[in-house]
Amino acid sequence: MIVKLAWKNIWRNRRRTFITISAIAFAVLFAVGMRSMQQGMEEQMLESIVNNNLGYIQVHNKGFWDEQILDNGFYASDVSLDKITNLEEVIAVDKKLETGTLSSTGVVSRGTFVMGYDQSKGLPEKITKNITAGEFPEVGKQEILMGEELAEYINAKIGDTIVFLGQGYQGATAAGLYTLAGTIDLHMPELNRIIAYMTMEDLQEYIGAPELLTALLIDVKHPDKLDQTKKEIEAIVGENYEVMTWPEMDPELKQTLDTSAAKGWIMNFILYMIITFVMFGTILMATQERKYELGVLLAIGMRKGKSMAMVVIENIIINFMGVIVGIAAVTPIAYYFHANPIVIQGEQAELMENYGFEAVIPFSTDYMIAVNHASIVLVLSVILLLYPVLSIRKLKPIEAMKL
Amino acid sequence: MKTIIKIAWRNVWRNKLRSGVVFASVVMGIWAGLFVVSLSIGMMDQSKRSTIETQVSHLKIHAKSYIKDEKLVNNINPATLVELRKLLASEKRVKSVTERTIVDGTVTTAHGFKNVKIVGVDPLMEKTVTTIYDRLDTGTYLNQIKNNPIIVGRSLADDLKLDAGKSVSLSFITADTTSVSIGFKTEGVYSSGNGGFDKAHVFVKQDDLNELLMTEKTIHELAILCNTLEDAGSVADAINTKFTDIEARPWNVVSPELGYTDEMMGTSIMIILSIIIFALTFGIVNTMLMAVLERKRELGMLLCVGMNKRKVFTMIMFETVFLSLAAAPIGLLLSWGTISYFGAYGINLMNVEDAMYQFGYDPMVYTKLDASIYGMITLMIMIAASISSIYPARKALKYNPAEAVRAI
Repeated sequence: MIVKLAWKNIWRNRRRTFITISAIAFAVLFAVGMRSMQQGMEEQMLESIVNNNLGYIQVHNKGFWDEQILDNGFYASDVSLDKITNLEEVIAVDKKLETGTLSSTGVVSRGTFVMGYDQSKGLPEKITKNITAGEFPEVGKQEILMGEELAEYINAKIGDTIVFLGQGYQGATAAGLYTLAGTIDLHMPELNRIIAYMTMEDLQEYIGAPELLTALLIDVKHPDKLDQTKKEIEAIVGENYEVMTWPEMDPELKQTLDTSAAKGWIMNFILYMIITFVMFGTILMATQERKYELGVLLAIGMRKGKSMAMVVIENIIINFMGVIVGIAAVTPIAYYFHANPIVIQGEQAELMENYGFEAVIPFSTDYMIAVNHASIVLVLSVILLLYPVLSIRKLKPIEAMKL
Repeated sequence: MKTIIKIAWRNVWRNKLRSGVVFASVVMGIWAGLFVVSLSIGMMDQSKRSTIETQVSHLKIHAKSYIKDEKLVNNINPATLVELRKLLASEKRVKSVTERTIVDGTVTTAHGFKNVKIVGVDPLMEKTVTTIYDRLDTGTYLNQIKNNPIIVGRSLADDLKLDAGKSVSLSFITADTTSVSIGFKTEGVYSSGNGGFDKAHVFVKQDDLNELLMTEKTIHELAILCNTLEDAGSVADAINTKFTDIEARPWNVVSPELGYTDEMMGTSIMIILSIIIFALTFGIVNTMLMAVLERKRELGMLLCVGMNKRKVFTMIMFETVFLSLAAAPIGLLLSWGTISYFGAYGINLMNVEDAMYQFGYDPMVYTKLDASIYGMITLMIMIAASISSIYPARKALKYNPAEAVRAI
């Protein structure tokens, strides 16, 4: 009976129902929309940093991270690469080899950080996009790519021959002659002064250790399941290797992201204060508007408890409808901005791109956002039902029916 | 018109509950808008401030040749230095100056070696410009150990397993191109909040360094604090017009990424602010719509007794304007209170017990806001509130007086 009354009430005053539904729906829309944007930004920031330099997980020979020298490298053939690649969570495994050496044109020399790139899967955009002159070396051509400022410092032009001299694997002397194939501007002067790139094969030959690697970079499907993936990889590579996740390797990046997330929570809290208020205002006015009607019900003998139950059931149905409408409205929006992110323009965009970020704000489509925040809105809207319940308790039929 | 205003004014006071909701929405909107912006500005300010305090200062002066190539021999010409000191001493906008000798070298311990910049400072002068002395995890700032003390960064100390009291060997190339290796004793470990900087910079006494370099006092860099950050550009210009062999560069030229964070914050502030204003507008529209529904009978009555539709519309608009005018000062006062409170005591963004954050990182954010932004955002919210009453007021005009007056 009460449920039936409540259901009929919903459809009797459609305008009131509609306004209440829209309040709840908008609350869901704002809460989910804002969180999608924040999470999208965080995901993108993490992805561009981690993908370009670090990888989500790295595997090294034990002790390499503390002492980054070639002697702490390992042979690719000693690790079951296939097993790692076949893990459920792993998208790709990249090989990495890096070492310090001295580069010289005969007159001036400078300490240089050489990175070997495995070209078999193509070069990352971060490199190809930032080449300022010439091109990336090809395998077997004995060519190198240098930071602009390094090339300028040792006075090398494209096509010039450069001497590399340093320490190879296990104490051997490494020496070689290379042709400067191109220059690169990584937009970080400190790095431009010391960086050089070679193909993996050429670098391995230079240090006298074919197949030697310093690290494996592992790209994963779910960045939030890192610890579990780490354990699986550890089980494969065994005790002689160290498996490190990006927060272990770059705690500062973790800090930056956590700070941004903490700020996001404060923003969300403030937004929730506003939407709670919006919902409260709507429910309050809706209760005011039907005081007469409720007064009549009480006057003709309905018990207060029953009329409270009726209003609560009515509103819970409306709240559910509002949440469903809200999710239905926000999902296409999130997907739209996920596929077509908001593009940042002007000088700021240029700066962001220089630092290796894409100048866009994508939305996250993680369905847990909708589930979590819609639930919060629902709980809040149910708590707000205390207002109509309390006002019915205080309601005096005689006064309520006076106009 | 006067009558309409009077009726509107009385309506505001007649139904206190309804007025209270709209009033509170506007107060809350103003507070939320101002607080969010002050929080963002506070965060941006914090990272900027710590970088400026430890690394960049307001401006830096180098020999032009040094900017191109940071070599030992590219120091500031002694004659220029004398002139420059005179200029800086007479320049009122300059608060403090420190002079540094810088040489590339290597720190070696039993656990390995790292390439670093060895910065020779006069501890007393340096304290007036950078706050490294205040950011020591352990030890003291070049004032206890007599012979060759050194201050190293936390991340370098971790890599090389260093601690206060332990010895290191510094090697570098001197002015006459001979290589020297000499023992130093760690006096303190600092953390500036930037691990990259900490790993690459060690501080020693200028006199010690110059003695080892076998040079007279060689100065490569001057770091300057002005009275305010805004003075940096004009002071740099004043120096650059007077000298040809040196170049003064303000903080945003030395470290362009600091300017970049400013811009980045600007965009996110705008996005968040518009979300808040949009949510608030929606809240007011909704409340007023319900209010118009609730007042159906009353408005019908007014129309019946001959008030025309334009006047009813104006009346509802005035009610909202009155409410937002009254709410503005309250909202401002509330915002000013919270912003000042968190400006003084800060908001802790991090779980302090988390071990990862114990070194050098400052998780406190202090809110901060300019007077002009207070005014601007308050005005924006008030305008948004007034605009949002247009739609409900128009809805009210659609009532059929004869039906509306019978509504219960």
